[in-house]
Amino acid sequence: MAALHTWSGLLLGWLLFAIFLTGTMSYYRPEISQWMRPELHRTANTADIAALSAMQYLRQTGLGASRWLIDLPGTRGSATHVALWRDHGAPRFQRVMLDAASGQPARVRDTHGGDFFYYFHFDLQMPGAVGRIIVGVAAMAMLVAIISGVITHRRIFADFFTFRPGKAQRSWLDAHNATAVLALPYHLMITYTGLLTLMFLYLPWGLDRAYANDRAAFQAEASRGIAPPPPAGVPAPLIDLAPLLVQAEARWQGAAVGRINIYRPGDANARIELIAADDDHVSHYRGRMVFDGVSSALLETDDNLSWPAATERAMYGLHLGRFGGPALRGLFFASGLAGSAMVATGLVLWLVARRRKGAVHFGLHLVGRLNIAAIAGLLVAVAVFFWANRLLPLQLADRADREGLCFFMSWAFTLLHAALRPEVKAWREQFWTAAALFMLLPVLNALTTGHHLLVSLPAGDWSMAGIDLGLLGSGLLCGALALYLQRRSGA
Amino acid sequence: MMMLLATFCALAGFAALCFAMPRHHRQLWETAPGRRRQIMLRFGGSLMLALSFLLCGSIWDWKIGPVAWLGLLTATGLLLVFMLPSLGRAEIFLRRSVKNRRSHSS
Repeated sequence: MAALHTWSGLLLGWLLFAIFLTGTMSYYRPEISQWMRPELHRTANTADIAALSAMQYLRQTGLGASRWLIDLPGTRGSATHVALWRDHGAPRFQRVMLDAASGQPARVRDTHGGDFFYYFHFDLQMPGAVGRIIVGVAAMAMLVAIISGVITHRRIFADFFTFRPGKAQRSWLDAHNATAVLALPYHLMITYTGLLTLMFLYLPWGLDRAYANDRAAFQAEASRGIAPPPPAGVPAPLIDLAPLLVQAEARWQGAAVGRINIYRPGDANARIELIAADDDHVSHYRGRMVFDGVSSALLETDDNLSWPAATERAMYGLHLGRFGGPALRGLFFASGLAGSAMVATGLVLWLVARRRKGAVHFGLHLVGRLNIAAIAGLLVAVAVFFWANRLLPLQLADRADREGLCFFMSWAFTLLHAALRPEVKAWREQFWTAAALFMLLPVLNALTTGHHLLVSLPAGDWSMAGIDLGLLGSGLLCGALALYLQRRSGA
Repeated sequence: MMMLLATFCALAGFAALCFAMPRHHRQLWETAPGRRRQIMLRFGGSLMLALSFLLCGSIWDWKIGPVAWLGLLTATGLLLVFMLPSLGRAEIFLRRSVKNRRSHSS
């Protein structure tokens, strides 16, 4: 059991640290996206204003499309995302970001924003399903490591509150145990629900057998979207959205509308689907209402899910952690950091335990170098991504992907650096680099935008100020780690 | 405000449970706790944790509350664990300075 814990943890540990850290950052995905698009007007808009102005935009530009989609900004963003699909003509698919208040295309820099870390967290920015399958293997290894770790930890209650600093291997073990045991409910929940979010990719066979390989039939039964009728071919004016929004708010008892789908706009068979925002229940189940787009008759609601669907939605909602407001989000974030620290201390512990016995061989050397790039190097790469967002020229072609390229290039560079420098020095230098990069980011933000802390704090602009402060805090943490390493090595 | 109270209850509850253990009791008082004190600390600690659970249920609802409670326990537990060593050091420092002052005045 101990060997199982050791090896499942080590072999996927480097990847798990990256998955854990970027996943933890994703709790603040909308805020990071806001920070990375400083051009957006930072005004609070009601869902109604954003919905109606987006609708006006689509009525002007989306004629002849077979479907319109409106994703409203919600309480944590200030841009509306609209998309449209065409059966005939070009382009077939179009996505535009609108300023929520004016309903006009927002003039923002080309960036993936917080979505970069969010998608990296489960697909590693790899094409197709490759990344998702690798992440699935890592998550399964994590689950194995957690359960075998609990079984092998003999003094789980006796050592519950124990941390003895300054005692080499003992301290690493204590830190690993504390971050693992105290956040155990979180670790179990996040790993298990993480696997469930992609369960139809990992275990598709039952589904394919039960539905005879017909995924659409499954989707329909799991009530994930409507099957709109074919176009009637007869033009008919699309009704006004405002009365439908009022109806939805009454039905959902104040929960806001989050997403609007309009199928066959301008046709006699038009359908309007309203979907509730996802931030007030544990369950990621979002209330849904379907209206006839011409007569405004309410055709369909699904307020009652079957229990398997309800379970799946609750698990998914727990994993995303979008409910419960800022305080609970902070707790999820802290638990996620504890998880990252657990993986990192576990990786270091593996090495320290073997080195203490006097072992010297290539494997230890390799693990030592990979640890540096996977832990300190990733922090450098994350900071570089934020820098790239502010420094890359705005007119650059494929700018958003270039930001990602900066992330991966700098990460690769830290691996090269770790391989070439003496180990202790490489740790220290990378942590100092990360500390400097993170701490200078609020300064860079002040130099390149008008939204620095002296402006955002008095204005109560918490998405901007919060990210600036978070970056500053990350810098301080990296600096503290670098100082600790410097003192311990006596240099 | 209620959130602060819930956090305080969780932290106090964990601290009491922690100092009911001989090892941690020695960190502050140099001796293991007496039987009576241990029972009091355990009872009080459990009570405080239960109270923080009730507070979480009333701040959020009874579906989100338990999730928040577990998160709160994690955060306060980690805070306590990583503060304990410096707490012990601060305690020793205070005790020494009190001793020094006594020996100076006598």
